[in-house]
Amino acid sequence: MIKEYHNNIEKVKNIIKKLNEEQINEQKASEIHKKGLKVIKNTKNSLDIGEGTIKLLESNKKVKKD
Amino acid sequence: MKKIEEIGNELSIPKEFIFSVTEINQAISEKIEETHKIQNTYVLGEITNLNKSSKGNFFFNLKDEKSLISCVLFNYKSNKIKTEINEGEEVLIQGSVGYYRKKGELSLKVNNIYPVGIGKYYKQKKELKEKLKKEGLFKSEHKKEIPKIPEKIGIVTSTKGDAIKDIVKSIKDRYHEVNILIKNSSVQGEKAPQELVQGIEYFEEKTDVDLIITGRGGGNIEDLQAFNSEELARKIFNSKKPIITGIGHKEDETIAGLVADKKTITPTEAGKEAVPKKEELIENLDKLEKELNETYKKFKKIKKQGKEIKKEKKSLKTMKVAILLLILIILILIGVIL
Repeated sequence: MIKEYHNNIEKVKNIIKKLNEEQINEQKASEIHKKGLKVIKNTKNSLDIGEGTIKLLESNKKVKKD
Repeated sequence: MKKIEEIGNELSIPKEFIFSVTEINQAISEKIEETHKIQNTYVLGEITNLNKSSKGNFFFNLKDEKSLISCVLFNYKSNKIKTEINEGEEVLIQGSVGYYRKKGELSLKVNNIYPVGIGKYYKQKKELKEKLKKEGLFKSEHKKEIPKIPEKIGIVTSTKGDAIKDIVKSIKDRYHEVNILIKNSSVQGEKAPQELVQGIEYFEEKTDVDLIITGRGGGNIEDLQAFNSEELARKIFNSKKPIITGIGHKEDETIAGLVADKKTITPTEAGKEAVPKKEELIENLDKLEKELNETYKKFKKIKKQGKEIKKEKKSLKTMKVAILLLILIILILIGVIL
């Protein structure tokens, strides 16, 4: 379960909010922009959650692996 | 009476063989009333042509393969009967055969109705529903949260039916990488409730699944009986893992569904509720990335504009000083000349 997905979305939304408020300097803006991009990239990667296996427990035999 | 006697004489028929309608109906009625076999007896059959009068009396036929009999259940009796009276249900009726002399109609006067066959299941389900409702098992506050993106899902159903194919397909269509564990179980018959409970317990205790789905395809109330069992309902309620049910078709209501953390109307729907569409999750992130980049671009643009304005302000200030100096020099020169 990726509990972080929705939290990460919120994090990026907060970064966007800060950038819109323009209260930060350029260096800080660049830093949080990069941080936002990194969060998005990591979140995308975390969506690859499994191997997509289907396992029948009765026989403990993997019936399919995608 | 005189008329009957005259006709008897005329036709040479002994008067004791000729009856008025009232007399014959009375004779039938008396005969029926003195026949113990059909008084306070039990009759098994299926309810058809059910009608309820404005006064609350029920009129229906009770039939089997070869015959039918009219039945009447008066309102003062029906109030005491706990069984639901439904068209097409097989029931055992306790009553007495009576004869309505005025109209020459024979009917079974109902004292009590006992559900048998399918009717029995309706009654059991209704009683259990009321009991569990009173205990609060259906309340939304007891529902466990369904994980938004489960990595591993456990399915308890029959591996022989179509339900398992439907659940797996709908999960895979939406989120291919989700791992699925399947625990085979009967979904109807005597052993089904216990096997379904064991399947849930197995996932609870021996696996790290995030979510459990249980269900089966459609069927009549007898087929769905396992999902109306108290044993399964309590297991679902007490489960440590969230449970989604996908049982039957649209119109099927089961106790398991009412207790479940999420009830869906078919196995396919259960799969859909279990996982989001991965494509949509990625789309959301793509949109967010675009918004982030555009906002940053806008930020930089605004900052750049701010700098330019500042620069312009500075040069304007310098120009102002130069002009003032120039004016001052001019004034000094004028003063010198004068």
